[in-house]
Formats: sequence, C-alpha cells, structure tokens
Amino acid sequence: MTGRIAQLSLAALRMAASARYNDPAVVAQWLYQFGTLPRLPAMDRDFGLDDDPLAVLGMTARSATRRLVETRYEATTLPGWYSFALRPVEAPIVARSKLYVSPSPEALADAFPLIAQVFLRFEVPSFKIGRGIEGLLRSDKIVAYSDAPGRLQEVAATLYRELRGCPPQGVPFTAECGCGALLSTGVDPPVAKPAVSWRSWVTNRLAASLARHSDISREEAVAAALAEIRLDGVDPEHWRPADDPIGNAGPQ
Amino acid sequence: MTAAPFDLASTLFLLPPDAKILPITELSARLRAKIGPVEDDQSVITRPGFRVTARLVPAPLADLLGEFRAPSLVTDAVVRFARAHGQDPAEMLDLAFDALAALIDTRILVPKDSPDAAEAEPSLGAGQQFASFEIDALIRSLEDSEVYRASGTGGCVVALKIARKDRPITAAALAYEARVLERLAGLGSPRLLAHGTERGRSYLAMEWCDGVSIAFAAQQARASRDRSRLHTLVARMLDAYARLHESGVLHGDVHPGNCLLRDDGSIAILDFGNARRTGAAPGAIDPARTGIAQFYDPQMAAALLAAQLPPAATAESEQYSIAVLAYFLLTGLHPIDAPTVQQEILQRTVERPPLPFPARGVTAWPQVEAVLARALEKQPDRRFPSVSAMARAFASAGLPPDLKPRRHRTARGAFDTAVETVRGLLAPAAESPLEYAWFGLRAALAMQDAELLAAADILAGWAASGWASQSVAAHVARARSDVRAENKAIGDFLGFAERLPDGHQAAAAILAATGMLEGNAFRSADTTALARWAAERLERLIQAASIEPYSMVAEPLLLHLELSLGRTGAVVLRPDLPARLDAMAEKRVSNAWLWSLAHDVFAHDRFKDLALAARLPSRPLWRGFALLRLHQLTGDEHWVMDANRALANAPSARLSVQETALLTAELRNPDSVILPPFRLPAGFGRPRCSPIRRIAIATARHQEQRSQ
Repeated sequence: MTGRIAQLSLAALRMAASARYNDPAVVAQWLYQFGTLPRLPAMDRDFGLDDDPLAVLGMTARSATRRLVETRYEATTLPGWYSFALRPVEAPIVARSKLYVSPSPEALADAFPLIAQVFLRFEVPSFKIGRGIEGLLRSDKIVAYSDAPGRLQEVAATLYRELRGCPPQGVPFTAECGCGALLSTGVDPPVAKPAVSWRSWVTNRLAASLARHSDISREEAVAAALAEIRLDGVDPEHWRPADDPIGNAGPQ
Repeated sequence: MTAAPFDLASTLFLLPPDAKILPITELSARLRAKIGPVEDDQSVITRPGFRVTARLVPAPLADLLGEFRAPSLVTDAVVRFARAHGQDPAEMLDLAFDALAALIDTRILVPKDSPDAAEAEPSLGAGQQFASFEIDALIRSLEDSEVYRASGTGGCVVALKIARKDRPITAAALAYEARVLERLAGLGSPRLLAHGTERGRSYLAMEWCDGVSIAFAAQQARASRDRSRLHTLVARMLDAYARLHESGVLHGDVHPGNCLLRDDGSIAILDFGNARRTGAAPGAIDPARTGIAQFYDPQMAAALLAAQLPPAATAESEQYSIAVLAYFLLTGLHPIDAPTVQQEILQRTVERPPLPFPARGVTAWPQVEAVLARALEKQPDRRFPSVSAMARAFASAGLPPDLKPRRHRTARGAFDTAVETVRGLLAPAAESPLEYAWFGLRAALAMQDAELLAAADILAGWAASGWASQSVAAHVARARSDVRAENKAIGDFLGFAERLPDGHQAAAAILAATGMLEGNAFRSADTTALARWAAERLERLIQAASIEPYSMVAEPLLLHLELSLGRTGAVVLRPDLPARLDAMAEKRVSNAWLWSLAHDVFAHDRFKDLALAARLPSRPLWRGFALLRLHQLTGDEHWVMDANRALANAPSARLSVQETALLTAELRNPDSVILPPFRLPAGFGRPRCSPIRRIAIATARHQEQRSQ
C-alpha cells in the first residue's frame, strides 16, 4: 500500500480492529474521525473560541481574503461548517465530486488565502470550511464541490503548484490526487442514499465488516474488511471508487 | 471616583432597557471561568454599544436596580425596595448609596431624559447623504459617536466619524481629534480629509484604511507558530507608536482595536479621540482620561483604586500600555492574569509583576520577555527612557535560540519503543492501558500526532473503571475535541469520585479534577458539576483537617488543592490562605510544586524563592518533573537542561522504561508539562500516621458512624 493517505487508512483500520468496540456505529464514527489532530491548550489561546479561528484563515471581517471571497460567494453558517456557494445561488448544489484540501493547522494562515484565490479563479461552485478549532483540526477541513470532476482535477493541479511545501495532514479513506496527502478526492452518494458522504459511506461499510469478523485475528479481520470493500467497488489500495460504487451499491 | 453631577433629590434615574442584568449562575461555565472566581450570588451588568465595562454586583443590589426599570428618584426606589423586603429604608439608603452613586458615575444608571437613556442605534442608513458623503455601511455604533464607511466625491472611500446629537463633549473631542490628525498628516495614522458640522452634528472624514486589527494578524502568526512573523509585527507596532511619540502625540487609548495592520503590511493607529500632547507637567491630573482597564498603567490603576482623579498620560504611562499590547500580541494573554472584574484588574496591575511566558503555558522567549519586563516596570523611571528605546531593544532581542535538548540514546530508545507500543496497541499497552493511554496522549500532543491520539483513545477505554481512568479519558476526549465524550468522562469521573471517602484518594481525585478544569474558559464541555464537587469536597477536607483526629490529608496538599482550584476559577480563595501559606513557610515546608503554584497565583517573589530552595525529589521521575516545573516558574532554560541530564543519568533500576518515555515526551514541550492525573507527586504522599493516631482516627470514624 503506497501513499500517506493509504498508510493512514490502514493504520485506522488496524486500530479499529483491535479496539474491541461492540457497536459498529461506534467503530464507524471512530474511523470517520481518525486523522483529527490533537487539540493543544496553546491552540485554544492562539486560534481562539467559537468563530475566532476565522481570523487565522484571514477571513475576519474586512480582511483581504474575506473581501475577495465575498465578491463571488454567498456564505452560510452551519453547525460545524461554513459553507460558500458561488453567486447567483439559484438552486441547492447537488455536486457529488469533492476535493479535500488538507493543510496542517499551522499552515492554514498562509495556505487558505491561496486556496480561496484558486477556488475563485476556477469558479468552484461551492466549498466548505470546518468551523471552530475542532473544524480546523479535522483532516477534511476544506472541501470543494463540483459536478465536473475534470474541473476539480484542474483545481487540484493548480493548488498543488500554489501550495508547494505546505505541510499536509491527509484525509483517511480518500483518493490521493497523485501529489501527496494534501489533496484528495471522493464522490458523495446520491442524495437519496442514507450515507451522507463518501467517507461516512466507506467507514460504515468497513465498520460493518469488522463487526462481522470480530472473532478472528486483527490482521485477518482487516484483510476481510479490505476484501469486502473491494467487492463494493472501492479500490482499497487508493481508496478510489472503481466506477461510482455508491450510486450502484444500494441502500445500507 | 468623581461625584455624580446630578441633584439626586430631583433627578429621575433609569436603568436603560438595553442594560442586561444576568445572574452569574445563569452564565455558561465557559463565561464564568472567564470572569474568574466570584461568589454565586453575584450578577453581571452589561450594556451593549456603550463604553461601559461589564460590572459585577451582589444579588441584593441587582434586585434593587430592578426598581429603576421605570424612572425613579434614588430615594423612592430605595424606600420601595426596603419596604417590599421588610427593611428599614434609612438603613437601606445608607447601605446602598455608595454603590448606586458608583453605578451613576459609570453610566449604568442614567438620568431619564439624558441621551444615555436611549439605546445606541445607528442614525444613518446605507445610501443616505451626510455632508458631501454617501453612507455605505455602519462600522461601529457607540453611545456618543458612530463610524461609517462612506463614499466621498470622486468615489474615494472614507471613514466617517460622526458625533451623536446633543453630545457637546464628543463634538469638542472630534474637533481635537481633527487637529491631532492634521498635525500627524498621515504619519502612522489615517489622513484627515474633512471635518465640520452637519445638521448640528460634528464629523470628521478620514482616509479609509483596508486591513485588520493587529490582534488578528498576531493570532495568525501565533497559530502558524511563526515567531519570526510575530516579532516583525510587534516591532512594526512599536515603531509606529515610537514615531507617534516623537511627533509629540500620546494616543491615550492603546488597545488592539485601535491598531490596524494595513493590507500593505504597514501599521495605522486609529481613534485619536483621547490623544494628548506629550510633556504633561509632573503631578498633573486629567479627569477625562479613559481607556480599557487591562491597558492602564499602575499609576492610573492606583488613582482609580483610591477614588482619585486619573494622573495625566505621559510617554512612560503609554509605554506601559504599549508593552501590555505587545505582551498580548505575543502570547494571546494579558500580562496580569486577573479575572475580568475591574477592581481586581486594577489591584493586580498595581501589585503584581507579569509572569514569565512558561508560567502562562507559552514557550519561553527570554530576550523578548526581558524587554517587556522593563517596559512593564511598576515605577515609570525604571522603564525605557522612550518607546523608541523600547522598540530598539525589542528589535535587537530577536528570535529565541533553539535550545532543544539533545536526547540521550537510552531515552530516545525508550520513547520510540513506547510510541510503537501505543501505535500498535501491543501487549504492554494492553496490560497497563491507563499509563500507556496517558503516555500516548502526551506524546500525541508533543508530536501533533493523530494516530497516537486515536490509540490513546482506545487505551483509555481499556483502562479499568475508576476516577483516574475517567480523568485520563476526559483529557483524551478534550484533545480529540470530542465534547460529548468529555462530558461523559466527567460525569463518570464524578460517579466514582463522589463515592470516595474523605482522605488521600479524595484529595488525589480533587487534584485530577483541577486538571480537567484547567482552561475551561476555552471549551464547551460542561464542568459546572465537576467544579462544584471539587470545591465542596475540598471544603470538607479542610474542615476535617481542622479537627485533628480526622486529619488524613496533610496541609501542604490541602493548600496545593485550594491554589489549583482557585487558579481554575472553581473556588474563591479563602481569606486565611496567605496566613496558612506563611505558616508552611515558617515550618520550612520544602515542596517545589506547592511554592511554584503559590507564586503563579500570588506572584510574590518569596514563593518563587521557596520553590527554588525546595529540596528536589530523589526519584528520577519526580525529579525530572520538578525541574520542568521550575522551568515553568522561571522561564529559565537551564532547568530543562537539568531535567534532560536527570533523565540521561538515571539508573535504569530507578526509572522504568515507561517513566523514561513519559519524561522524554514532556521534555519535547517543557512549557506545558503536566503531571499524570492518576499519581500524586513526591512531597504530597500520605502523611505519616503513627499507630496511636491511626487508632484515634478509626475510633473517631466508628463513633461518627454510630451517631449517624
């Protein structure tokens, strides 16, 4: 298994197989959260409370990046997220292809203004940012959406150039864009499906597999879970959908 | 304070409708922690949009203020209130008069017909014309003035500051501000474009400066752990104030909101409404001098505490305020650690020196701390001769040297082995999950490692149930930003701790609780029940200790518990605490933890001396922790080196591999070292108990149980 994200994903799966959790929902949640960085006491002070961490992104009121984003995007505050939609917003955006941008927290102040410029340049239809410190410590802290996967590839290629040297965090169970753990992709399930996102769909399936194989050794349980997710149409070497598996796999 | 210039016999006073009175018990745990330790029967009064500092008032006074929701004479309100509560009106008036006068002085109670009685609402809307400007957006609305972004002729964007109607003092202040801006001619400040009077309202129009408060820029640099950027930013700020002083102007209201980092990286100082000329005569007073309490210099604070008129601002007094701003930008904290209660801020500004960065959990920066310490001297003549001199000293202080201690090979091996044990959830970790969970957490924090944190979470779940494991689980949940899990762990902790008998275990659990309460002002977990339990149990232990046969917990530990809880804001320190500390000092109690904590809380040098003179534990683990505690106390790096040496030289028989790994993890981040919550450090062990005394305690307990 190659690549930082693949390593992270396998480490998560191995730990989860050892964890002795009884409830698959708990395992799924634990896998989903894997990769969240520790919250240091100093971060509470330096990032600030509630919505103060916006300042770290350069998105405080009247800042240059905020002014730039506000020229084209409509912002909405959601529990856990800030969501931005390209104006004019005529209907809910149902884009399923997503690009994860995962700089480590200490790189955000420099990285986010560049990321915002690239989103604007390519007119990314919508993107979201994790809210509060906890939102910026999670691995999938910045997510861009588009219904044109090719467009997201262009965005990823540009970000790769613009963010050269930026320390990555890496989003487990997503597909690296071929340029390290900083950028990766996923495909969300159709709106009617019960899982709300690519990662929750994958981690639910892995958790269910581990629960079915709780009576065998850790390595065997991990191998079984990887084999089963492959049957669901996910390449577990790269955490990439073979052929949009979510839409075909049916409800959970 | 100044006497209220009103005829109290004939003026109807009003508590304005937008003034909020909130009982302290109704505030969130986080806000309570921010306010600091205060009695539960207090209320907070705030008034949004007004330059009124939030004030704490006792419950009876808060109730009395309710009488002013409709306009009332002071005497009528007091009489009504006294009668309703069966009190003597004359006596009540006598008791309440000073407090009411102070509330009138601070414009919380206002005359019915005064402009202050109305809410501070914006008077102009977008698109409206004012003088030759078209209003674009409201930036700030206060009781005496408003600031708008507006467009001038030719489309240039301006900041338009307009006095509210019927505010003659503000009109004069604006005229003065215009003169100051004219004099500065854009030197580190917005350029003045126009000033005058329109529809009876004074205004001034200034160049619009795009940028953000310097506080946000500093926050970015701190969050990036970029001290070079932080140093450059603060150096520019100091240069800007130095130039201002050199041009003969004191700003008069230093705080982060008045210092802007422009998009081009330059600094603009804003709001010259309180500006003064340099060179006030010695001893001069300035009744109009104002500002934000945290930025007052000690002389201003002392005058306000003594109910005297403020001394006139000087270059030295402003140097102190600028140093407060610099300290705040560099650390995110005010130099004087005080609850947000005006009186307490003033008192501590007069009495207490700033603590070194590591004592506040901030990485040491000795050269810069030395510059700040001088600028923050209590005596003006001990500060720098000028802000320019301070700026030069700061610029040459530069970045801290990289003093990362070289790790001994054995220590590195033990650390790496322990990390792999945690990551792989291997057999040793499964056999001692509590200890490995704690190590995993501390190593995860030191290395910013998500995998170690996830493993620590699993190990904490494996640990046998009990208050200690729940305490570790709460720490892990906090590091994972998992509020629900943290609340659950706190609840489970209480379930075990409440069943502990009074004694050593209960004391250890209180200490663990203080660790869970630390920093609760910064998070959403509900720690109210935990704080209450810790405070009540400590009170019981102190009471028990006062009855000799029941005394199971030694006085140094009781003092340490009270200081620890006091620092978290969970308890109000008992008035006899200093005397009890003195008694321990006289008994030559030697305990680096107790005296270091006493110094953190009271900032008295004698406590620091006692801590430095304390005999250090001989056991290598505790010796290492004690040395790192002394580093936090003083900020001196040599304690870190000593701890590293202690680790390297410890015989393996006296320091287990696991202990070596833990100490190695702590050495990676010596400014934020904390003790494991499941162990009491050396010096706080069980008090020696003679057989006769044990029998006396057992007999007393037996009798107590029978009597119940």
